[in-house]
Amino acid sequence: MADRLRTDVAVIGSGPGGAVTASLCAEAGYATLLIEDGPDLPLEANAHFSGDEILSKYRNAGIAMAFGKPSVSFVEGRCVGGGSEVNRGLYHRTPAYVLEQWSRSHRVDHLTEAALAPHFDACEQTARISRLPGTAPDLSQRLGDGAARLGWDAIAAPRLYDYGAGRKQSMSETFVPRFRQAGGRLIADCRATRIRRLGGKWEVTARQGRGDLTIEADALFVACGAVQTPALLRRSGFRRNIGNSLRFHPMMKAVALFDASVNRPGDPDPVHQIKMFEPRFGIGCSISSPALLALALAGNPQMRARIGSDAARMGLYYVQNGTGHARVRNLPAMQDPLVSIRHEEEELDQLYDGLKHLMRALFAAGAEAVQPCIRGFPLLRSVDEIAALPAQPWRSALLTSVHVFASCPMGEDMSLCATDSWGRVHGGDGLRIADASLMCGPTIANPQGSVMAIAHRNALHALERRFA
Amino acid sequence: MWPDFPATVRALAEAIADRETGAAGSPEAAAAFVLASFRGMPAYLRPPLRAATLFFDAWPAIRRGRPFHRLPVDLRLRQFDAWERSPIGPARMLTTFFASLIVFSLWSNDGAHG
Ligand SMILES: Cc1cc2nc3c(=O)[nH]c(=O)nc-3n(C[C@H](O)[C@H](O)[C@H](O)COP(=O)(O)OP(=O)(O)OC[C@H]3O[C@@H](n4cnc5c(N)ncnc54)[C@H](O)[C@@H]3O)c2cc1C
Repeated sequence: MADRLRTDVAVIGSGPGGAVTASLCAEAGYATLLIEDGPDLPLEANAHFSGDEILSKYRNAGIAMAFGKPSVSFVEGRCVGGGSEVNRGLYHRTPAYVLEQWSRSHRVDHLTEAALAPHFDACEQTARISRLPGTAPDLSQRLGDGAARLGWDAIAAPRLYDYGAGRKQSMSETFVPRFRQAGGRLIADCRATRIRRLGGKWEVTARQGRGDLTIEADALFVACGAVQTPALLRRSGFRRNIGNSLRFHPMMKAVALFDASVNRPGDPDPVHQIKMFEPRFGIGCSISSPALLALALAGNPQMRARIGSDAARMGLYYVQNGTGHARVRNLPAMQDPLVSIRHEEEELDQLYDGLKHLMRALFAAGAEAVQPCIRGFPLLRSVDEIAALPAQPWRSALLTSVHVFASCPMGEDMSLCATDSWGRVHGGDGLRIADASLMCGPTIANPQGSVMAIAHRNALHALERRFA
Repeated sequence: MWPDFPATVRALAEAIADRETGAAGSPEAAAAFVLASFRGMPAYLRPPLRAATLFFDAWPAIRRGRPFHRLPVDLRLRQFDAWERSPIGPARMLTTFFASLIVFSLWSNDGAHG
């Protein structure tokens, strides 16, 4: 016999979308239950980007794949706070041109920069944004210098980070405490397996440890992230435009070996980004610990062999764009869905062009050698060698991504959209989605800010209408 | 001597650690990390990965009379290198999977960098 719980509002998934939504519902006086598949761990439970963190806070131990040519290996958080606990918190508001494009392509109502600004403001009051005080670490600054020498613009991105306290502004540090303060109840290690409408209420069937739990709620928000939300909805019989349009920000990487030390223990996270080529591609810096250098160079033994002696002179950088259109489908008797992806040649060409731009910037910044992180690709000693690279890297390239979205887009275009402009599932009897699934395409900028602001906007809309 | 999945993972970690000059992590910890990752990965990926690994382990049995996990380290590395450069996609994918997780773990114990 399953345990039964009754609540006014249930929110499934405690990432940025779910945590913001649940806080607002609890503060409005509704009995609100937030359930989370993963464990409830403090931010500092594991070293950031360590093997332990991957095993305890990432979905599927960090192993997930969108199968295609090329495939995209992607990661998601699976813990209280979702991706915000494991990410770097690089922060941007959604660019105005992206919102305009979504409003046009998916016919989303009231989605302008001005209309969204108060929601960004409100979220930034709780999850605080700041810029790195003082100068950026050399590894980061080098990207800025290289860009400047080529006449390109680079920026130092703000982060969801409290530099004074040295703490990231993840959900477990911000909206989850706010939710609890308002009387909300959180159940971790609890996985929703199915939802259904029964007698005018929502019924959520969940697994908690070895037992089953049934939750009955007047209003329900699904915020399981852009892969698990469509998986849960499709399993529960909701299929219209659900899981047909998943998008990523696939990345290619390169490692630079500089003429001097740039990568010191204890340096703050690098923050420089080159955004002027977006949406064709955007460029940035990655954490460059020996372990992450080795991972990126797994197919490039020549440069990897130098980590032992030269890690302090090495920096890891990425280029990303929005290539690929993916689908999420459940497999019989399997918990995890299958994700398949197809690419447009033009978008792949733009990404590869972006990799070449990145390598030019690194040479301009004083790199002695640059290794594109593609199996079998040569170590480059000068910028002229970029021209001799193969025209097509896709036989040996594996793309990676940490950003997933747009699997259940919002809008009034019934041929494309899973929900209306406010996250209500079309034909879903008041069922709402509240996570990155709602985006109408790649956010181009780092997505967490957009996920929070849109969740905030839609939660207020739902509360004003008493969830009608 | 039958193909053995955990023994193959341990043998791979030892072989890769042998060529990874300067990495401070232990092959035992790397093998434990790979096995934990395997347990956590999507269920539908596990059977094909296990089957491919057992095939990789059994591969030298005909020529050398023993599975991969019983070969000396130099012969293990030779087989791993050959599969890494193979024109056959799944062979390359298998070696990429193991090499990525193992080098990540081997370099993780270096406390000198953050
Ligand atoms: C390594 C990494 C680095 C990143 N870097 C940045 C960055 O620097 N800046 C930025 O803006 N963004 C970054 N992101 C992306 C950002 O974290 C995501 O866009 C954001 O977390 C998405 O929020 P969400 O609410 O849609 O989903 P998620 O954060 O994925 O949260 C969904 C939650 O729902 C839970 N869940 C799933 N299924 C169920 C179920 N059936 N029952 C109960 N719970 C369930 C999951 O366990 C998860 O905790 C990064 C992500 C990763 C993984």
